[in-house]
Amino acid sequence: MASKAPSISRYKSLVNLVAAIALSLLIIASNGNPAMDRTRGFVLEASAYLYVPIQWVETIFTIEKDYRELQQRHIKAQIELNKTRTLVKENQRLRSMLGFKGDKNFNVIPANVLSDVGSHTMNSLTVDQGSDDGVTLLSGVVDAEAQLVGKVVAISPHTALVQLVSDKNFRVSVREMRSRDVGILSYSLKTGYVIQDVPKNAEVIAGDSVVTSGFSDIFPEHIFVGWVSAISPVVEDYVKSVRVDLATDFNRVEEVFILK
Amino acid sequence: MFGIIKNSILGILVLIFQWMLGDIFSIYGLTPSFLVIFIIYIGLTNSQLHAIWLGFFLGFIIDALTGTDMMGITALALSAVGYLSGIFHGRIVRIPVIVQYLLYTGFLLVFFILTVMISLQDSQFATGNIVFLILLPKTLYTLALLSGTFIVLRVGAE
Repeated sequence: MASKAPSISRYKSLVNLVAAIALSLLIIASNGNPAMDRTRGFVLEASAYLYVPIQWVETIFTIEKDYRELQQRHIKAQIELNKTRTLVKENQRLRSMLGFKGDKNFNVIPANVLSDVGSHTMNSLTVDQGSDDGVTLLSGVVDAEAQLVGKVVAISPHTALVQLVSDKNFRVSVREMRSRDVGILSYSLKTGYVIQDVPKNAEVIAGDSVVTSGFSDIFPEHIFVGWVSAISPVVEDYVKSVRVDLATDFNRVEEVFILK
Repeated sequence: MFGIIKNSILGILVLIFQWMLGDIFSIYGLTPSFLVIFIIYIGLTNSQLHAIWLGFFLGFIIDALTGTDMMGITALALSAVGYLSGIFHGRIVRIPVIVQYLLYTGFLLVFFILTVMISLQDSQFATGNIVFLILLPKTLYTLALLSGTFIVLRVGAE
């Protein structure tokens, strides 16, 4: 019996390993399944209970500095708002003269960043607003400067997971402001942020602004994305690639605004 | 039972550390994995079964928190590493130090091959670039942290 015991113990470990691997493979195969999304939402919700008290303590030390910064931003924003109000009225008047339909209106839900995770496979951050606060799946997310951040890919009642622009699976339709041409922006470790399939004859130069095109239901038009940094040589007959420097600094993002 | 509870609490703390503070240790985008160091430690010093199932659950939770599109891969990788490290439970002190560190390197390679290579299989990176620019540097960086941790905790020392 004594000589049998070690081999039984090794067999038990192997069975447990096979069971763990089988469960892991089942989970991998179930990715995208609604049950798996609900499980992910539950884990996010549970993690928020751990993170919120820690963030509350951090906030105590930064609250005055944040207040001063917000005051300054508010004053600058008010000045810009006054200028913009005049332009909006004139724009509306001209559009109605031309018979254009009205723009979509977007409300925003402010949210604090609970954690961010960056890796070679996934870039995301967790925020403290969820379905109970009006957040829906595939909502667009911008930062305090109304610059592109990402979109909501998973939600729970009080938290949401935001897929960042820097994630390898993220795609967004953008417009280059000089030529007005539209392309799809994506990111990879090798090439950085690139707009693919820009027409070869598009007049694009370094420094041009890039904004969202408004062709999706997720992002309205004119959300600032970044600036053209380089234009790749023509590799096919009709298109070229345009490299972009992103405006958003993900290292400094502490609060975001979810488009509703 | 007390051992299971203690290891589980430690595992949660390591997971929280990895999730919230892991990026602080990032060098040129390469983040070490404290979870795999923890699972190797559990396998060598506690129990192979603890290491397998703790690895599975912690791997599952970290995949859910990071929002990866291949949820379950870290659970699979950590379970495998837990099993492998558990083979040397109680025997690691009898193995020469150089062989110990070769084993640790092997465990880390298994983990990173499963998590890095499979996740990046459809990326624009060539396999060689993935191996030399991501896989090996992450393995060496995590090995350095593992070495420091195990020296302090006297793992593998008689």
